[in-house]
Amino acid sequence: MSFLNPAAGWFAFIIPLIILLYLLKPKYQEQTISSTFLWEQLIKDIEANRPWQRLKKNLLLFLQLLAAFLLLLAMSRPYIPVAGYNDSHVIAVLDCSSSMMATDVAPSRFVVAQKQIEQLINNMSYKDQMTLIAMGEEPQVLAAASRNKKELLRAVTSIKPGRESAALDPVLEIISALAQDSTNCSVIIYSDGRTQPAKHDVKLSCPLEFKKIGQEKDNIGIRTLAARESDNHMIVLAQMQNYGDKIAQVDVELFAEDKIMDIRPTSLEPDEVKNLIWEDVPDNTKYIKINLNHKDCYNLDNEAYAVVPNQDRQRILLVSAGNIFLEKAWGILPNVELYKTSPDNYDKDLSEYTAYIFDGFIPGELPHGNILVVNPPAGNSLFPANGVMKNIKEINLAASDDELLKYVDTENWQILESQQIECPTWCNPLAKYQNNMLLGRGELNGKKIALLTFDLHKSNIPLQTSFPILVNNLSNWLLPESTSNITLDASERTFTLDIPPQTGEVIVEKDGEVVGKYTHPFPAAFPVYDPGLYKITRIAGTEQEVSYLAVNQINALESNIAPVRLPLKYYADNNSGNKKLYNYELWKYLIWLLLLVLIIEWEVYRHGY
Amino acid sequence: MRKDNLMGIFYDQEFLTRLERLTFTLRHIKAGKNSGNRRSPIKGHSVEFADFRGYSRGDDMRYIDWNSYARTEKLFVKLFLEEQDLLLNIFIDTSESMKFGHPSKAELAKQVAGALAYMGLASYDQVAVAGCSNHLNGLRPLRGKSAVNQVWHFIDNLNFSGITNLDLSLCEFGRYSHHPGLSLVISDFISNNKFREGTKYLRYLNQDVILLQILSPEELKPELRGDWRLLDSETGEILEVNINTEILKAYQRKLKNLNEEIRKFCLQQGIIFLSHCSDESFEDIILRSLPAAGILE
Repeated sequence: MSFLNPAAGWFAFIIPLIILLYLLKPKYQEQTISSTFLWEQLIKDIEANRPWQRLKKNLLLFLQLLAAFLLLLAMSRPYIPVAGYNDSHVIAVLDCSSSMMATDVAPSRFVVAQKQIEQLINNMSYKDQMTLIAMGEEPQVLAAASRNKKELLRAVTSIKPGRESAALDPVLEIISALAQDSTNCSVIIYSDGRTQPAKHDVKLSCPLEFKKIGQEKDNIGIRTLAARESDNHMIVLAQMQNYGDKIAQVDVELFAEDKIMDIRPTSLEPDEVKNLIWEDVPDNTKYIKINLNHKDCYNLDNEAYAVVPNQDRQRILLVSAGNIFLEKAWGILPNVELYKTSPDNYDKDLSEYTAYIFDGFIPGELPHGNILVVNPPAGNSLFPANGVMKNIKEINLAASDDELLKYVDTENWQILESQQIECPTWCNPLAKYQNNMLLGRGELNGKKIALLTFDLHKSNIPLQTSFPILVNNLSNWLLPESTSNITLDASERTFTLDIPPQTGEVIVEKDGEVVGKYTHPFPAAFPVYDPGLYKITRIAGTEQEVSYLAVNQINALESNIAPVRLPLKYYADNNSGNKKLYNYELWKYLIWLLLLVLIIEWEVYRHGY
Repeated sequence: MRKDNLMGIFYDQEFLTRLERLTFTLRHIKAGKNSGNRRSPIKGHSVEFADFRGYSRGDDMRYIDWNSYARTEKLFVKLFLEEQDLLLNIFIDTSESMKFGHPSKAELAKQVAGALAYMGLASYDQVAVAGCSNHLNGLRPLRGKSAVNQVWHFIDNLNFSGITNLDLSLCEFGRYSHHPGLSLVISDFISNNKFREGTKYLRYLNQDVILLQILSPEELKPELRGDWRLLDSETGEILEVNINTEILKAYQRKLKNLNEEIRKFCLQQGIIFLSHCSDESFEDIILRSLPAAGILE
């Protein structure tokens, strides 16, 4: 401890002054009493006939000396050097990934990190500023270069840990941009190091410090859970891993809907991955649940749900004069029951199909289901053609990340001839040739419509490996998920739902409580919250269609909770050289203490101790 | 009873009647020289039968129990309790310190002495009251209710001043009386044991001794705090003292020890020691405390 104002030491003369006051004989009040016989025996020591008396044990003297000492100390402005970032801009990054919810440090890693940031805020001087970033999958700047401690503290307490993994790259990009504008900037990342690794080398112009949060790696988690029906019985596969470094005994509980079906004691070596299979689950079960009856530091991955996929086959009508490629590609899809007819035999009464494929034909009146149009005929009103394109080799992808083009390689596609079609406003072109659409999709009057502008016979596409993939993507998009069920992983916060036009209301429930109620217009994506099982009810008049959605916290990156160094190459853990010391003054506390001592001194004097 | 008399103000008729019903009940009560209303330990010739004893030559033939002779053919003499008077000596410390206190110790001392004197005179006992300084300043023994006013007047006019040495004053008692009796010494007894020799001398004179200590509330629980110059009311000695809680606690411990020493001394000497505060009512002391101590009944 040092002093900013040592000159105040001159004030120390008050201490001998107080002692002198106690040494000097006080002014007495006179009182006649019956006899001084008893008093004489008590006070022989103060009877001395001197101008000063012996210094006695006196509480008041002690308190007054203490008060004088505290005043002297406060005036000297003592300080202690504190590791911090005085007169600087601190960028504090808090990892909000789900592994921060591990409880190896009480109460949790996240709360410990929050407290450390709060302490940093409280230690800020009035000149300091802080930027607070919550590091999730997407970074969130909660306070930018703020000197307002209240605002910063409020921002820290408002952060909640998420379910997804934290991504370093976007955070580093923000830090890089902030550091360029700030001269005296430093970065502190509070994390357990379990983040998605940085893909790019980031050069920061400011020091970066990593505060590693967490100690233990004790965790057993579910890695995979799947259930499917096969030949009138159901098979459930659960995969779990011991992420810890000790042998673990765990009871794996299997629930079919809400009924417990089996408890299987399982032993897992350190880092062992074990698969468990059940084959005797009732075949009409809608969902199953696996629970690991084991206490570890990270509980979120100890429970998982799986919704059993519905095996109902979808009916599709192929209206074509004859297209072996379409017949084969659609016919082998496991959930598709393909029916064929020719354009001449097509009747508008054929309305019981889920989807329609019109090859070289478009009826005057479109049916109710979703539609794939291949090679639309000239003169149709849905996709009016302006002409014909020939010898198409270089195909431009207008939306390469579209779900219809997922894993589809178009590089070797060659098309001999295609209709030159002007893209309708409701339709998004996905692949183009010279600004003319080759592949597109859109929704018209609640119907999903996809379009291939060319005859497959006049292209090499059916011979490419990407063709069955394209067909599979088309079927996933065109066939409604009305009866199929979905499982979401930890990173997904929304789910999409195919809603038939007649649906009036959608109710989302979790654990018997309604968490969402939706009517027209329905959102494109429905939000989900905590992991668990969601029940989705689509109401159309008097009819209700129930499906389930499982949201699991299955993420190997997060389940492996062992704290590690940040997946960055250039920074050093022990970068105390970047840390600055500033003077943390103590006079405020001393003044409060002085006030307290004075109150006690007054009370002591009042009671005459 | 004269109403302007201090005693007259405090004693009502009902209280006096109650006093008359009380008698001294000390175990070793000593017989006086005159007949009185009090039972004497000496067997005598009153009407109250006490015991038999064998006849011996020289006994009064009138007291031979002839009925016993008829039954046993042995001569027995009947013994009767002789009723004699009591010599009650009341010594009041008249030092300056007795004026101290609210109410003063002297006031209570006078009231208690007056009440006991009345009780003795009403019982046709001999009562002598004396003020003690360094000398004994007293009345000759008086007897009968007619002497009440004289005794009360004497008590009323006691002058509380100067220094008292009970050893000196009590030792003068031997000059006036050698008869056994009951001696009551009223004082604060805050002195350097300057009462022990005197009380021992009273015991030597065959007196049943009662020491009645009267302390003021200010002495029992001083409420002084801070720096005080204390003046001794008797000696004028000055003592400068810083009084705090610790000092006050030590004072009370000292006072307690002093009283314990007196009590121990009294126990050894067969003396009754009573301690009262001057703010207590004298009626309570006479009607409750003294009977409870076995002095009155």
